[in-house]
Amino acid sequence: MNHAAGWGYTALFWWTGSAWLAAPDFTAVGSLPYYGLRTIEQLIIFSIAAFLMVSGFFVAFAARRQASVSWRTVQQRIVYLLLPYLLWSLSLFAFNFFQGEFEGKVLSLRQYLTLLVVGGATDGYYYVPMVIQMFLLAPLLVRVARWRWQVLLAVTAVILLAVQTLGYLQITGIAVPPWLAFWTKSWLFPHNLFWFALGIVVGLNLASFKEWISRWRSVWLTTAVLLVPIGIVEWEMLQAAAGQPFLPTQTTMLDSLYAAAVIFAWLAFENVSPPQAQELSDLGAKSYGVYLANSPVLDVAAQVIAKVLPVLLAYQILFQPILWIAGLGVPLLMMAVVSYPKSPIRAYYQYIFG
Amino acid sequence: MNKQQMLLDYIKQDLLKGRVSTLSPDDDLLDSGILNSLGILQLVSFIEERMELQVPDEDVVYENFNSVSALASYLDGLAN
Repeated sequence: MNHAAGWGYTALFWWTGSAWLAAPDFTAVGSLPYYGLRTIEQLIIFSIAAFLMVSGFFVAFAARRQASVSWRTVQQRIVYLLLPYLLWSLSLFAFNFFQGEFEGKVLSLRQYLTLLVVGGATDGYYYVPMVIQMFLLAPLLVRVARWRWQVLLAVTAVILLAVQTLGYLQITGIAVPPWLAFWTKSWLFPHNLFWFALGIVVGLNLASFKEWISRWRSVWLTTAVLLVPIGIVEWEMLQAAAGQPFLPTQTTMLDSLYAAAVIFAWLAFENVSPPQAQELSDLGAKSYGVYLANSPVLDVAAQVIAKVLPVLLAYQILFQPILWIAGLGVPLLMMAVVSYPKSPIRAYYQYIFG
Repeated sequence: MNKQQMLLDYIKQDLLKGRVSTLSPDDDLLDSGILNSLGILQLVSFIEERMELQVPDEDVVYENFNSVSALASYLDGLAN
């Protein structure tokens, strides 16, 4: 949905309803479709935090009763994250190469390698290098969590706040030394280490954590609901402070608070089963494959719509659901085809979709 | 079909998707790389849907999930 919203902004600012513009036209900022896209982004901004918490929880599970998680487990997780990532990234490179361009230019081998390291094959792939760094840190994090979990959470929270403070400075045009700005890059671990560490701490202390969050469950829910409009207003204020009509969304401190409130509310209300809980759970288990496949699928779907039925670009209320259906449906179809019992590549499923 | 066989079939067909042809009840699911964060969710979901047993989050620990035989024993205890 986040990627689909990105295409939504592209259509909103670069498409007049009859032709592509040479330069963006931001008059649609403040319109109903604009706030619709912003609301979607704001609602789902907790998702990376939630995925990292699940990964941290798994690390706690894998640590068993030992001092820390084994390097063998770390290695296995990295292999199953890395192989599908490389496959999809290289496929995207090949696709772009045969189109004769990568955002307008042919890249050198070194540039391709750099893109692989930073998760730059397509928007959103930054998550894989980032989570791999966290798995590499996992043995140390578990040791600290077992020693003093409060220290781990405090240190990682300070890192998170520091990175987000730098983000505020950069948005508002205050100069940040390059060596410091480097650490705010999304493919590096400092941005999101807190959520991974929180997952480890929760996994190691599940009973007491659940008891604690249950006591405050209405607080988490109220906070989450209130922070949706507040987060939208905050970004509008930051855009105004930056003197820009539009800036691609970044995670702010309020967004992190929102993410925590959503995750805690979800866990605190665990006895409330959402509709289609089973289907959602099955979908969750396929999320890595959907995540890898959905970016290229959305890119292709958006470009096909732009060429075949460009009139749809003017109607976000139609354009967005089509992208959601394509972004979810096509990867699920691909996964179903590969995992079909008679499929000759069924045994390679885990290397393709994780 | 008993729980152990149901779990073995599910793991071989759905989690492993035929990647390995043999899986023994005592194989370590973690060391063999069969279980990951999403795999655990999938396994718990299978147990809750197909076996109609509610697995408390607190019970999702290595001791209960390290092998098919350990999991089947845990689920037998849960059902009783």
